[in-house]
Amino acid sequence: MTAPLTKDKIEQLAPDQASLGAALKLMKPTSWPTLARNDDGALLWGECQGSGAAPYRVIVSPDDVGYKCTCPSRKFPCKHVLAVMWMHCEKPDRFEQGPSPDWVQDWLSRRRPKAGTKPPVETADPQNKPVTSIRAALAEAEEEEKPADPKAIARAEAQRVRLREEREASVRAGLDDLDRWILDQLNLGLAGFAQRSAQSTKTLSTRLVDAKAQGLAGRLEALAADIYRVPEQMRADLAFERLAALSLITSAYRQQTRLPAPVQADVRRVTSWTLRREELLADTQAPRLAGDWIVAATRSEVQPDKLRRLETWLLHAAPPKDAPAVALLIDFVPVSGGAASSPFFAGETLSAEVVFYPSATPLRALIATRTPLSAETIKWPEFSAGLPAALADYENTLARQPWIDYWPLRAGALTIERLSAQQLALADADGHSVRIERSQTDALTPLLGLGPISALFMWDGTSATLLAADTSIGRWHET
Amino acid sequence: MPSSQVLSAQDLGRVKQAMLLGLARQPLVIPDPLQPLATAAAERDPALTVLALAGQQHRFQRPPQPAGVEQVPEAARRLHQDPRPILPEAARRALLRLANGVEKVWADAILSVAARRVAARGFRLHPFDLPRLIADIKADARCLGLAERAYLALTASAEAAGTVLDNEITRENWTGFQKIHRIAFLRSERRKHPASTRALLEDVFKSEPANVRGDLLGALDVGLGVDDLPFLESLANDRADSVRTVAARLVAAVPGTPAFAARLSEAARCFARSNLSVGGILNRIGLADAAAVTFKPPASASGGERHTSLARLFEGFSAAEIGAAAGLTASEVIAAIPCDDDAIHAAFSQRAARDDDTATLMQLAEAKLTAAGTNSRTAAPVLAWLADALSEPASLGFGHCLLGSAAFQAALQRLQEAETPAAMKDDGTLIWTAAVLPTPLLPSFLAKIEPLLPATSRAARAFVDLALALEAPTQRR
Repeated sequence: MTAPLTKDKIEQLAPDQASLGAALKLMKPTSWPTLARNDDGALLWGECQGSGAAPYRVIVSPDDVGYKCTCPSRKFPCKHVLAVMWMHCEKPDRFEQGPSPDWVQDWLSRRRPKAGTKPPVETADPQNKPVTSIRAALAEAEEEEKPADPKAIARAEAQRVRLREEREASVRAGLDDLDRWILDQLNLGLAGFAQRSAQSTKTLSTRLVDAKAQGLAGRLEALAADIYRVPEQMRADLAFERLAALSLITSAYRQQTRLPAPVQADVRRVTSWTLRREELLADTQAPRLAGDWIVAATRSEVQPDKLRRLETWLLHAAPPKDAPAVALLIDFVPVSGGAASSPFFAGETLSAEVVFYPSATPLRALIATRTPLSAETIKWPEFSAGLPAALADYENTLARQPWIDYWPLRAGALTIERLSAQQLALADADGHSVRIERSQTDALTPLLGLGPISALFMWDGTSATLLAADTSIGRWHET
Repeated sequence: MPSSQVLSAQDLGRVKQAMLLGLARQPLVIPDPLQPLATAAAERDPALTVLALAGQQHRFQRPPQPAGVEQVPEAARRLHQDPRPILPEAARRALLRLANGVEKVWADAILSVAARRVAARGFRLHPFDLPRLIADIKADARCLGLAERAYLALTASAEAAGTVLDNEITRENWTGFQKIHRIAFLRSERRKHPASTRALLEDVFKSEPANVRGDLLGALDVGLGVDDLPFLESLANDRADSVRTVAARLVAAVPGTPAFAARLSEAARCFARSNLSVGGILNRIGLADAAAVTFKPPASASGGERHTSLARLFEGFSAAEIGAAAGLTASEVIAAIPCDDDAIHAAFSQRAARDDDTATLMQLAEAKLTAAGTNSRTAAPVLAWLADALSEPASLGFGHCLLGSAAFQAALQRLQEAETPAAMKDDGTLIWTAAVLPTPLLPSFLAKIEPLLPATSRAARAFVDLALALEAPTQRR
């Protein structure tokens, strides 16, 4: 018999009062598109729409108070886990009964013992643990629901405006620094940029972070890393193009009021301004697309700023004409938080409404809502045959958003060909071909001689990185 | 799509050259088309504007078409011509879970067993999983069918991969295969046709490089006979030390020779029915079968050298040969091996593996498990070599013995009572048990490991899932 979770137990587990307050706010049904338990209630699980692109997946084992959540919080248990426990305690009927999905089984099999007794990160000594009270959390929530003082609202708004103006000024000062740095590089000559890039970009990127232009700082750091990923004879060209893009961004940012709204959104996002999930979901103008999606690929990369970037590439099974066919979910987790991966598996299918960040070329997105799949198996969508149309798509996108580093392209009737033992190419029936990133040579070798494939690949202007392909022996996915 | 290039190729080239060399060295000449734009923003250095626009135009240049697309390599064609069907999707998922979850220290051994299980059921690995799995299985020829060899030919050196991509190795094509395949082939052929197989090797021996000659020669250890002596003795003057060493070892192991007989006799003398006990009395009154068989090592095998001496003494002998020489059955000999011995056990096991004598292999494993008692750490290494030696899961009888053994029960209990993450880790008992058990006993095994933490039994469960998925009736060939 499964021991019920009590409020006393939940209070004991909560690392601090703030966590209980945050958990209470998460108990709205709309926050949990999935909430379920197995037959005997020994396992509870749910999916919660958090601030990340993909929902956080939560598992709780009430018997031994084990738990797992995919959110990056460093509090244990996090607010999502507490919310599930609390909901099960107060509203067990909200949990649908059913067999546990693969992700529950998979994560359960990796569960460390006694996870429920791990002390919260922020409280080393149990005797010094802050007092946590569900009653206090409920009282605080009631207080928040009272109408706020108009003067307080006005003061808060004025402060927000002031902070925003200060940040704008700081960013513009950062842009001035960047322009000066670019000029220095031009005076010194880009032929030697690679040799000096590491130190040179590091100093400036630190100043850009201080200036609140984190996006530009990230681009500089990426340039320093990418310059050595290309053959030596291509490094000067890469520097030429990337610094050109930076110069274009600084100019566009300064004149953003003259730009169409989507382009303005792009240049602000690429510089530093992020849109919070709640703001995006509330934006009625943001493009939305519902339907069945194939998880084409999942990728994980540690950035120079010690954040792990988790990418989930979704391919729409039947996109309407002129609608985005690909959506990219991006989450960032601290590397120090341990191993992390996309909550989805490559090859998985899901049905969802996806909302795209405003852009001249929508790609980055969040999952707004999940819905049941329309069919058990989702057919791979049709792609136009050949490479020229796909490359033209890239050029059209580049014209609309000039600072993209890469773009997902789709093409059918392609084959993987060999240029040498270490170099493969994507080719079409008319003889057009493009190089594939060398790092994928071994992984893609089994596709040699397989016959025509339908491929989703990233293109950066010089080489392709395959994300997924539909082939005669099944789907291939980058993981 | 931009309908025209703003800068001519010449202008773009000049701008780029100046920026690559450095504007301090080569001042920028602003191309005419960009003059209005470059000078419009008074507060901005024109070079930045020119860079932005010229660089952007540069991005629209498509890279040159890669030259020299090769014909589809023959190996790539052969990879997909492997006649075996790809393993069922459920088995594939289980195999990948196993690959991702097994401890690194056992990865190659366990995945080799898993790959052999897939092959034994008539399937092949999914080609898309070969990059993930090949590093762990490539050293075991038994795992490498046509598709796997073809993948190696595409990604590894020609020497490592072999040059022949036939479906099977035969007497006609054997020299074109990878060394590990050739050794396995020779051993297999020696069991059936010892003389002609030796002749097969003799024909090509001199043309092989030294490092290969020694290893191929070692394959003659199966089915050794006096007919092999002329060839082996002729190698006493081979230019390679490795060949001379192997040849000398094989000569000493040829049955019927005085050296062999002397060694056999000495080894057999270690096993005897006891005359100084109840067993001895039973022997004298004709109830020999009930008399105890004891083991006593020779005087030379003592102290720190005991293991080495015994290994040398028993090398190449089977339990049956020793038993015949000592007037005992093979079972009696096996039962009499001391529980703390590894040398004799290893010698018998290696001989049984070479002879593909699975019954003796299981008998030896069972004896080891029984002798281990409640020592919960013994099961894993015993089962590991058994799994490697067997080409099929163990018999039902052995499976029942294993699941009922004190060693296995003790291992389960130890894992259940463990309190630290290190202690909760499977020491190999679970995964190797899953690897050797016959399919009908797998549900029983799952029931026994049910109380354990999922993290402890994750890899073992994945192996069970694989084995069961391979047996699913709708997916049989």
